[in-house]
Amino acid sequence: MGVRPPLLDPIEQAHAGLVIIGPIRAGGQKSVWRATYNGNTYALKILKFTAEAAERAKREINIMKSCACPHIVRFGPLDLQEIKIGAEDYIYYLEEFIEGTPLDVVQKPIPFDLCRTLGLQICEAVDHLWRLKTVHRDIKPGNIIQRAAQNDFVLLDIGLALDLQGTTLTAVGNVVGTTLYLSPDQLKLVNARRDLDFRSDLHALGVVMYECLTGNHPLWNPRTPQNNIFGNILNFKPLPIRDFRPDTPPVLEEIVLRLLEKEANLRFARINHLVEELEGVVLP
Amino acid sequence: MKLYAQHGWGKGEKIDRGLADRIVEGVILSPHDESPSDLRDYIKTVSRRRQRPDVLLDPQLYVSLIRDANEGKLPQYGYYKQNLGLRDFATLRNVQQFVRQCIDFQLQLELTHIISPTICVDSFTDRSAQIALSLAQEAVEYWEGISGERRPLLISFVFSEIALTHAEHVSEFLDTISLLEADGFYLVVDRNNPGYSQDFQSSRLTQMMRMVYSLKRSRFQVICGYSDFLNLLYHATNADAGATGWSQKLKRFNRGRFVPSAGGRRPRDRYASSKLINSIYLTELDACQDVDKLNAVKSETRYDACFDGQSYPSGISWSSEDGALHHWASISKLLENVKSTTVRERLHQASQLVSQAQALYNSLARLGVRFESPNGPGHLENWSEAISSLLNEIRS
Repeated sequence: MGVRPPLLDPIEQAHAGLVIIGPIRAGGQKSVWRATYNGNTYALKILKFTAEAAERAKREINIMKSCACPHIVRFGPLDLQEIKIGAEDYIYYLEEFIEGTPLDVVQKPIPFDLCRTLGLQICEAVDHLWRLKTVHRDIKPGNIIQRAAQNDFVLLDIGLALDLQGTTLTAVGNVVGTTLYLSPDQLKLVNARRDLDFRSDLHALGVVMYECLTGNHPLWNPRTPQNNIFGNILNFKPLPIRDFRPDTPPVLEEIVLRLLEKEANLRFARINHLVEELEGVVLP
Repeated sequence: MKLYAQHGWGKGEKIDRGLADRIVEGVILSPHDESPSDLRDYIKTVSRRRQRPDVLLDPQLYVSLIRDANEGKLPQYGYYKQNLGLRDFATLRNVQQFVRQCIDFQLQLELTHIISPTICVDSFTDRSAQIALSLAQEAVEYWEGISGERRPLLISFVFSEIALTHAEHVSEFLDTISLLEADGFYLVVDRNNPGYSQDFQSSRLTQMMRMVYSLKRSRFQVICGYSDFLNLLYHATNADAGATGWSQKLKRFNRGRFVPSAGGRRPRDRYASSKLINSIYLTELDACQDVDKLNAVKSETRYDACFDGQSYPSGISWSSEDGALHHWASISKLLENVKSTTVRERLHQASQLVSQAQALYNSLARLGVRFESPNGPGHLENWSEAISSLLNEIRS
């Protein structure tokens, strides 16, 4: 993205004090830019307008405004805006800019204590969301940032998940993007009367922690069946973590494997139970 | 695991003696079988016993939906409504009223746990299950509004054995109930066959054990009603308590318990053998003695002393009270053999006991001892399969 897209200038001009510095992430429907507003740094999210995108953005903003969790990205000082540029309508808003490294590019395996911290902090985020009866539905390494120079993790992209779920579920047979992080519940409950709950996010957290501990995806690695990721999500029991990393504390392994249980009722029924167990892990 | 007395008609001194002898540690009371004043008096007396027993009351609202039921003393209770149908649960107002009156009634009593009302569930996917879940949810919500109450709230479910046929339905049901903000569950399986036997189709039994295992893993209290010898398996899966009573109807739940019976002859005297994991007739115990296997079959409880010096076990005077105490003591004795900390190990221990019982039955058969069908080893293979099946499913 060497050339500055023309849509940035009108957005800058619409808000005194807003300076767009450079891209963080770009995509067809959504781009994220590093920007300053009145001297402070933020992430500027710009989306092509559709009624659905606007609705999703409103929901995301509402959740960010309602959540006072240090491990969920915060809302910025610029509320949802609409702008017409040429023939296209766009919406945009500011959110917290997190200086750090997305977990998908962090070198793995990571130390045990860092993995436990990751588990505890994302648990806290999931707990905050569940108090709002919200399920993230798209917890994955690319949506978790490790703050620079801190053992501190932040969960991004709240509210995007519904859309992603829709996209991935129509892509049956292709191992793409977030498909790898779908929970069995997300696959099973497509036509069910029961809604997803936080235990679906706990499954995704289990996948992330397993990857962080072993450097391998629990349900898609050279030692798993290679036919169908959906089949693995629904039926394949992950190999013991100690098969990959023999010095893993058994209690930590037990917790992560429990998060990966196929049935929600066999995971943790209360987030505080998971927190207690993670806090009780004795590290080498 | 604690063993409770499942109360019913004709308690006499059985529960008091069971508590005094410390072979039961609590009681689940049946308002169907006591008038409100007698029940109140009994709760006062029993709850003040030195042993500090657990005292629970099954509100039995489900009886109201059983067609042509003998409702016993239940209509004398203010919270109980007669002749209810599923349609009566269609409005939230009614559901709230049933739950609140039932809980309020229990709150006045010196009970150690409060049990929410329920209806019999035929399938985990039908309307009866939805109603049972509404009652459960309402109980949780009402309970949250009651301040200063420290007693645990148990959500009760009475479900048909057939409901356990579909593993995926059981899973979905568990997914739902494990989110309830209750302290625990009181679970009763409505058995298909009203006759007394230990048989339980293996895949359904696996599901029942899985239910106990899953709820315990989620740190709920789990109390199983009318569970008799099956308590061995629920104990292995970590249940907190199980209950059984003195009559066949109190050992194995069947909604027929509440249908008027034409009477009949007095049941034959039975002997609970912890070694055979079954209850046999005293005459069958005679046959064991004939082949010099009496000691191999005996449960070695304190109540077994009455057989000493008798030429034949069936020759002793064996009252209904003796039978009840011996039955509880035998089950307690059986449970003592399972004491590992992990469920896997406990299941292995239970499996070993089942194998030993099978071997004992085989040796008796070789010696020519014959048992009437429900008293034979028929159930043990299913139990063994159920244990193996659960062991294949669980990690720890």
